[in-house]
Formats: sequence, C-alpha cells, structure tokens
Amino acid sequence: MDLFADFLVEIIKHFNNFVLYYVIFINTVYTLLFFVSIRALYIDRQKKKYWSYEDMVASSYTPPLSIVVPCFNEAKTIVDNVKALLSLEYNEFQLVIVNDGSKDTTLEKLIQEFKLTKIDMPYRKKINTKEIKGIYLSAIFENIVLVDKENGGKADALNAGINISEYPIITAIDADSIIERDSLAKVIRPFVEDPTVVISGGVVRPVNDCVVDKGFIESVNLSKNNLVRFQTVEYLRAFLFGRLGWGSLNALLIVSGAFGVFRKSVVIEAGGYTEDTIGEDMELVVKIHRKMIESKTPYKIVFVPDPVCWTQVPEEKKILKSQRKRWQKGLMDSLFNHKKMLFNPKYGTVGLLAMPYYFFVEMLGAVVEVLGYVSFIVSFWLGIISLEFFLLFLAVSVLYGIFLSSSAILLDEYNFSKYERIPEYLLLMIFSVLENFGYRQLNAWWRFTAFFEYKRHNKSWGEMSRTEFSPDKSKSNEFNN
Amino acid sequence: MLRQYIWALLIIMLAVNVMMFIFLLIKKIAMKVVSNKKAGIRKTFEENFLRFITKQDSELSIEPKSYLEKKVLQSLILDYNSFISGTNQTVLLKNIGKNSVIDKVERYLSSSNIWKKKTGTFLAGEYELSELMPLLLKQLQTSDNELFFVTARSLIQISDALYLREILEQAVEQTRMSKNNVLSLIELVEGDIKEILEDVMESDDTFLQVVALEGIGKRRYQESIKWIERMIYHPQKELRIAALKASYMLGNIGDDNYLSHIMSLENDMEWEVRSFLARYLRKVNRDDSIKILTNYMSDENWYVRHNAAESLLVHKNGGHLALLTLLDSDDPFARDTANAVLQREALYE
Repeated sequence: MDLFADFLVEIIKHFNNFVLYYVIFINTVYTLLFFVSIRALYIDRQKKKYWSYEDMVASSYTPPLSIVVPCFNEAKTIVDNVKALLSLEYNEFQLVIVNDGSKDTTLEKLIQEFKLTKIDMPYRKKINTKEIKGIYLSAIFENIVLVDKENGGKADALNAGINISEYPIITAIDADSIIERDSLAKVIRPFVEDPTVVISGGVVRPVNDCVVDKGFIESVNLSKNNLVRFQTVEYLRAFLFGRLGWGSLNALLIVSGAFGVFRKSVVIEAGGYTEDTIGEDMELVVKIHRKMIESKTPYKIVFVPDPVCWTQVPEEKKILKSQRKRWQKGLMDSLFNHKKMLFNPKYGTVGLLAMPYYFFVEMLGAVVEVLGYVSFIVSFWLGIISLEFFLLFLAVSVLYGIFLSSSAILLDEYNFSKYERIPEYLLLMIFSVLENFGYRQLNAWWRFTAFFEYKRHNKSWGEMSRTEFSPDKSKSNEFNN
Repeated sequence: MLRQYIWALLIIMLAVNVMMFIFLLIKKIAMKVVSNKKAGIRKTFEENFLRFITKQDSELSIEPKSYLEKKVLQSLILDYNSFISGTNQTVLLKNIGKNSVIDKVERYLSSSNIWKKKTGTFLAGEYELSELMPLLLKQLQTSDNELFFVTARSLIQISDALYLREILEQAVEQTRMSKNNVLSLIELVEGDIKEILEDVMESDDTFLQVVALEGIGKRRYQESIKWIERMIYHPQKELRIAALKASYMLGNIGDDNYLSHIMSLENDMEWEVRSFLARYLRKVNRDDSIKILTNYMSDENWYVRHNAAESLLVHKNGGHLALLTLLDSDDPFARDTANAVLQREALYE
C-alpha cells in the first residue's frame, strides 16, 4: 500500500512539474504572439495612412466578388440581412443565398420580399453537393441568386453557393451576422495589393445589445448579459492576439466562418468545404495550406484586423456549452485529418509552429488545465505542495491571464476603440479579471468533456442561436435548432 | 528560491496590470475630451467648408487658429479631397499653413522609416504639392511595390499624365505589380493619353502592351483601332485577349474590315480567346455574329458556351430566334442554357 502511495505521490509530483513547465511554455507562446500582433497592428495602422478607400471602392479594377450566404431556419433575420448586404459599399458583387432545406419560412420570405422566380439554370458542379431543388433569380435585383437545396449541412450549402457563384473571389458570410458597410473593401485590399493572397479574414465581434437598424450597426454597445461580456473579452483576445499573430507569420489556420474571403479557384482545387467535419472553416484553411505547400505554389493567407463582422454570440450557458464543444471537436477533426503536417518541416511555419501550437495549446490545453486543477488540489491535500505555493502559482497564472486579456483590450482601444463609453471600458476590464474565476474553468471543462466525447466524421449545423434584429437593439431570442 | 521568483513575478504582474489599466483609462478620457472638441469644431467648420468647395461662397470664412482647429480643417481637406482642386486647394492649404504642411511632408519623404515615407508620399498627392515632384520622381525608381504605387498615384494626382510614360516603364520593373494595379493608376489620369498609350504599344514589352491596349479600349480611342487589328494576330494569347477586351469597350464601330479581323479569331485554339470573342459579339448584331455565337453554343468549353448564350440574349430578334432553335438541340447544355437565358429574359421584361 505504501509503495502504491509513494508511486502515486511521485506521479503527481511529475505531473505538477509538467503542468508548471506547460504553463510557462504556453505563456511564453502567448507573449511571443502578443509581440507579433503588436507589430502587425502597427503595420496595419501605418498602412491606413496611405490607403485611399475611395479609390478602392470607385475603381473598376477592384475584383468583383460573390457573397455566399448559407442559411438554415433564418426566417427571422434573413430579409434584413440580405437588404443590409445589398447596401454594402462595393463596386460589383453578387449575392448567392443558399437555403439548406430550412424547415421554417426562410424560402417563402425571400421569394416574397425579393420577387424571386425559379428558373432552369444550368451550372458547373465543380464540387459535389446534395441535390439542388431550384435556382431563383430576383426580378428587382439582378445580383441576387437564391439556391434552394436539400439539407446537407453548412459545408454542403457553402459548396453549392460556390458552384453557382460567378466571380473569382468569394466570401462566406453567416446569415445571422452583420458586416460593416466598408468591410468588404477593407478585407479585399490584400487581394488587390498582392496577387499571391488566397484568403483574407477579418475580425468578428459580438453584436448582442448593439443597436441594429435595417441590418446595419447604428450604435455599438457592450452587452448587458454577463456571458456575452466574457465572450467579448475572449473574442478580442482570440482575434487581436492569436489570429493576427499567426496571420502575420502566414500560418493562420482558422479564418472565421462568419467572415472570410477566398480565391475561388483555390477553394475548388482544395475540394471545397469538407462535409463530414464540424469545423469546416478551419478544415478548409488547413487544406488550402497543405495543397499550396505540396504544390510549391507561393501563397499568402492574411488576417486584416480592421474589417469587422458582428455576430450573435450565445447568451445562455447551454448554447455556449454546445458551441464550445463543437469548436473543440472541429479543431480535433482538422488536426487529426492533417496529422501528417504536425512537426513536418516540409510544411514550414505551418507544420513546425502553427500545427504544434493548435495541437498542444488549443487542443490539449483544456485537458492539461482540468487535470492540473485536480492534481494541485490533490497535491495540496496530500501535502506535496504548501498552501502558499498553491496560492502563489494560482495568483501568477490568473494575473498573467488578466495581463493577456487587458493587453487585447489595450490593443483594441488603441487601434479601433469600438466601445466609446468609459463605463464600457471599465466593464471590459472588470470582466477580463472576472473571467479567471469560473468562466475560464467552465470553458476548460466543456472542452475537456468534448475531448473525450470526440468521434470523427460527425456533421451538423449544430445548435445555433437565432436573433431578431431590431432598431432598438439586437435582442436575444435564442432557441435550439 | 522558486518561491521568491514567483513572488517577484506576482508583484511585477500586478504592477504591469495596474499600470496598463491606469494608462488606458487616462488615454480613454483624454481621447474622449479631444474627440468631443474636434466634433464641435467640425460641426462649426463643415458647413462653411462645403459652401466654399462647392463654390457657393467665393471666400473661405473659416480661420483656424488653434492646433486642433487646423487638424480638423486638415481632416476635412483629406475627406473631401476628390472635390477640391485648383485655387480652392491653394486657399485651403494656406489656411492650414502651406509651408508647415510642405515641411512635414518633405520630412516624411526623406525619412528612413518606410512607413513615414509612404505616408508622406500619399499626403504629397492628396495636397497636390507640386513642389515635391522632384523627390517623387526620384522615388519612382524604388523596388518597393507599395511605395512605387503610392508614388505613382501621387505623381498622377499632381501632374496628371505628365509622367505616365515614366510610371509605366517603371511598373514593368516591379516584381509584384499586377496588371490591374497599373490599370487602376491609368484610370486616375483625367487628361488625354492616346499618344502615350500608342507610344507604349510600340514597345516590345507584352505586359505594357496588354495594359496599353486595355487602356485604349477603356478610354474608347477609336483612332487607335489599328493596334487592335494588329494584336488580333499576335502569337501571344494575352495580347489577343487584350485586343478583344478593348474592342468590347469600343463596341461595334461599323467598320466591316475591322470586324472581319476580329471575327477571324472564331476558331482560335485558346478557349479564353473564343470566350472573349463570344462576349464581344454581343455588341455586333449581325447575321454572321449570330452564326458564330450559335456555333459556340456547342463549343467544348463551358465559358465559351456561357458567353455565347448571354450574347445571343442581347441580340433581340436574331438572337432570340437562335436561342429558340437551340431549345430543340441535341446538345443538353445548349438546350438548358438557351432555356435558362430565355427564362431570365422573361423575368426582367
């Protein structure tokens, strides 16, 4: 029995050491990403000083764009969102709305509002999709195409949209998201400046409680819902740290499904969005990295911090839990699908830095964190570590977490200052402290459980929150699909 | 020992977090005060400013005195820059202190910091500072694509077509300057550039010839069709395509000889060329063009068939008749496309 107890203590001691080094390792990575992001934001800030937005919008040489809007049971918001998309400031674009077998009145609402008529239109099926039941054209807007198809999941809907799209550059925008009027021109800028750019992504922010009128943001407000406030801090950290940092290293593995612009030929060559995966957005980006590197084609996948897409984030714990579990499983899907790239020098920065980061930090992070909490509590109980050490270690990791979050708020404040009111800034700061006491642990727990529940080749639209936008404010009205 | 390090780290982290919080709070409050003041000044200035630049007032009734007022006027000039030129520009620059603006921009242009250099170059163009042209011309030799583009843009804003030839010659030297980037620069030129483009056509650089040919089409220089006729037979497909793009912009000029040259591309080996020919033919409503388009409806390439169907739709009588005939075609694509195009026509009528 003593032997077993000694063995257990030894294991715990080793694990504690591992956790200690792991925490040091990930915080070092975060710090490096922080510096890379500062540099990227500085460059972005400088570039804005000599860029003419008006030239870009007015030029007949700005590439035309197809906007693919996949929708599934979006009857409440679809009409407003399509109207908002039609008012975007961009020279030439086409809207391809894909109704993925909605069970509500999405199709009827679109047909009625935009006077859509079904026509027998032949198209090139470059990517395989579920059967298309009909293609509709609008009698009032020549740049609207509606594709009505059998339900096949979001990836399938996006692929159908790509098949129908007319222009060489495509963007996928979630039907429950709102993009700022000038966002398209900003996100397309890298394509104009550098012909090797194949993907460009922008920032996504929570829209909850913002004032939205006719599909446009009238006033930016920090949500009154605490869960949304936590997510606001989280989004800032994820986009202004992680994605910006990886983007400037040309090793960005995720471009948000809510707002990303792609060169169509490259997407088709990569086989389009993968259907039997949960995280189709990450999967596509990783596939493109892999394809381009293997074919030795020079390419760039960039992240632009200024163009903003506003999206609904969950206001209820249950929906947030489901979302986070899907994200974790999607991440695992992509990492396992492309495990060949991990630590493979052939894939350069992607194989040697980004893939290991997503594997050890993003995927295993939650597992180590949860086991670390358990191990520290047990260690404290067994007397392996003192209360002082336990509290000190906890305090340092919490303070470092606060430092990272408040740095993201600082970067946002310094460069974009979206939340204008001082009380909102104070609240964001408070929530960057509070998230370390409960929210972070809850998130880690959900991801931990998702890690063990993971099964490959699972697909669905998932549990999504639907929201009715109103001129007063974007009020939450969530339900499960 | 480890404990001491952790304590030290803890105190450092705490201090950094508190400092960051206070710094941001002060910055936020200060910026709020400044932006409120700026908004107030802008509200007072904007109406008078707009009346002046739209020539409703002969004199500018704004006299900025403080630093903030000058900054607001500067931002108004930059915001409405495309509506300001000539004497208005001179008066406005005088009001914000032309010499100090030139000094600042010159300092930026001479800076070793590449970002300042680019910003200075951009501002030189926005304020149309002709005094800085020698510096900009020298800078045109840069190997930095972005700096080259901003410099070329500013030179065009200041001197319109005066240095276009030099800009085009230098554009060839840029490794990543795309055709569309160069065309978007040409688009900014307001004056007549026929001679310059024709001059460029004499060069033996394919990239420049493609750019010039598309430029000729975009500006509808009918006198330059000899270049289209000549490039139709060029062995490089890029030039044949550029010639077709130019002819599309020019439309049907009613010259049979010219048309026969273009139609000679009917059986071109390259599908891109056939596809652009199909697009061009929507501008030519004649029996022979409808015949080519009807043949193209069975072309092996999808884009050629697609463009042919769209072009047939444009030719009301003959085209519609051809499309109706194609409804009974053995070729399923021709049949479906004809059907779709006719349905769409019915929708928009």
